[in-house]
Amino acid sequence: MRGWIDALVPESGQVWRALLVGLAGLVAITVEMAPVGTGPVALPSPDLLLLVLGVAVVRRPDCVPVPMVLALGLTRDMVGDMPVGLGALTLTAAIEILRARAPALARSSLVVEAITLASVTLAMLVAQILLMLIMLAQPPYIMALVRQWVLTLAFWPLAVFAIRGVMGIRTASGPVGARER
Amino acid sequence: MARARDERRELEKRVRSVLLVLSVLVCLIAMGLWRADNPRLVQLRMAVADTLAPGLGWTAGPVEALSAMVRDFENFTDVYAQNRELRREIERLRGWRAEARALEERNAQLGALMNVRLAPRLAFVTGDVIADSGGPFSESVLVNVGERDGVSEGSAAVDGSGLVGRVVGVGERSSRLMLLTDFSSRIAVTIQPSGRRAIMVGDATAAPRLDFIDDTEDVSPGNTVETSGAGGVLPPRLPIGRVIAVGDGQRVALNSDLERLEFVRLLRYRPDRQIDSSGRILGPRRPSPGAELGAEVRPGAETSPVATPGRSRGPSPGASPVLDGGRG
Repeated sequence: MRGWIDALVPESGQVWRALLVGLAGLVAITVEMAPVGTGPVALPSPDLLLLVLGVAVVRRPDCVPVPMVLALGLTRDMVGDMPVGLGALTLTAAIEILRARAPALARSSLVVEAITLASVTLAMLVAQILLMLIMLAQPPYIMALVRQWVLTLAFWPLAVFAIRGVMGIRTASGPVGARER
Repeated sequence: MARARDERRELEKRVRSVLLVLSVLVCLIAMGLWRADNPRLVQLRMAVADTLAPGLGWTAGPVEALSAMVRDFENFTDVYAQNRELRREIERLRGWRAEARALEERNAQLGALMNVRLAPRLAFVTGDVIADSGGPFSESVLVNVGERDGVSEGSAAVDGSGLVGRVVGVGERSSRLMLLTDFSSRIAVTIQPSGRRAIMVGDATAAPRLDFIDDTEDVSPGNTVETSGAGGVLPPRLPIGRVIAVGDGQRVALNSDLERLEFVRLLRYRPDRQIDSSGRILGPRRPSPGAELGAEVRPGAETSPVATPGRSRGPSPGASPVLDGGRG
């Protein structure tokens, strides 16, 4: 069956775009980890990895493969001192929710996208606290998480600019966009 | 054509859902291992950090420069207030300087009288902070020195003015410090001048809490807090901070500036190995005075090597590794 093989081999443009997104994800991780304000009073870093992958998946769902999201999430958990797997799990879930909404979001305005992102990240936050409680681990203060959430949203326009303007990952028009419908 | 595309889309969806289930499983397993403090996972963590360490160094530079610019601007706006503050500080320090000189002289005299030889047991290595945890889940930083520089798990980290934290993970060329403010940080401390023992507990606020003080009567705000060395993980008498009273209990205002950590010094400390019991495990036990009076001693129980290993470190003062250790 030729269809089988065809389906599993991606087009070359797709591969390059996925590589670009992966690279941007790695840069996002290292920028997040930069030692700016190390103590508990300092502002937390925004969740740049989620922003990069989230903005990309809304525009090109086929260029953000699941294994890449998982690998980046686990890397971030390991290098930053997060509970390993918790960040990756919530990140993967958030990206999948955004992927499911990508066709609809592609046709609507940026405001709708921002609201969707805000609610998805808020759900992530709640899920993280719940999972920490289930694991009987000490969850972080809710205020600290909310501060991070606000900062993440504040950095969203920058992520859109970087992904769409600089890296040129836009909503595909024509057959690729139609295919998702 | 349209049918082939449909088929392909269907297949992609199925592959993706399988991958998704697999990733959720991987995450759940990782979370379980993390919660159980699996040593392999800790090793893997440090290996990943080692691999990414050069990249972290590159990005840390520009981002730090940017934040330094912002900080300089902030300093510029309140330069007058700072100036006044510094003058006051200088006045206070002049008094201290005179006192310190007098003390130093006295110390030298006493040292000469006692014929003291100080053993240089502390060696250190200084590292650059290349990454912080970023998120609210923990307070830790990565430093660019590791096993090849002689850092070992449990090493104390200090900055210019006091203890910062201790090493909880060692890679080949990087290591992770848990700061004193982390949720899992527990440090055995002594409060001077009363000499009371306590445990300093981090709770993600700027001033860690003091717990298990044996007598709160003797402890008042302004007293100095230093490491006690109990447990043999951290060296004794490292300065930490001052006691402050906040609401219900006592907390510690840290000497070190955790907000602007750039360089830290990791101490290589080897406590003296103390032998605090007789060699019961090796040879036959000598009958103690109590045993002679009591019932006959069974020959089999006497030579059993397994009988007392747990107790052999018993009476040493405060030799519980839990006081200084314990993460998660």
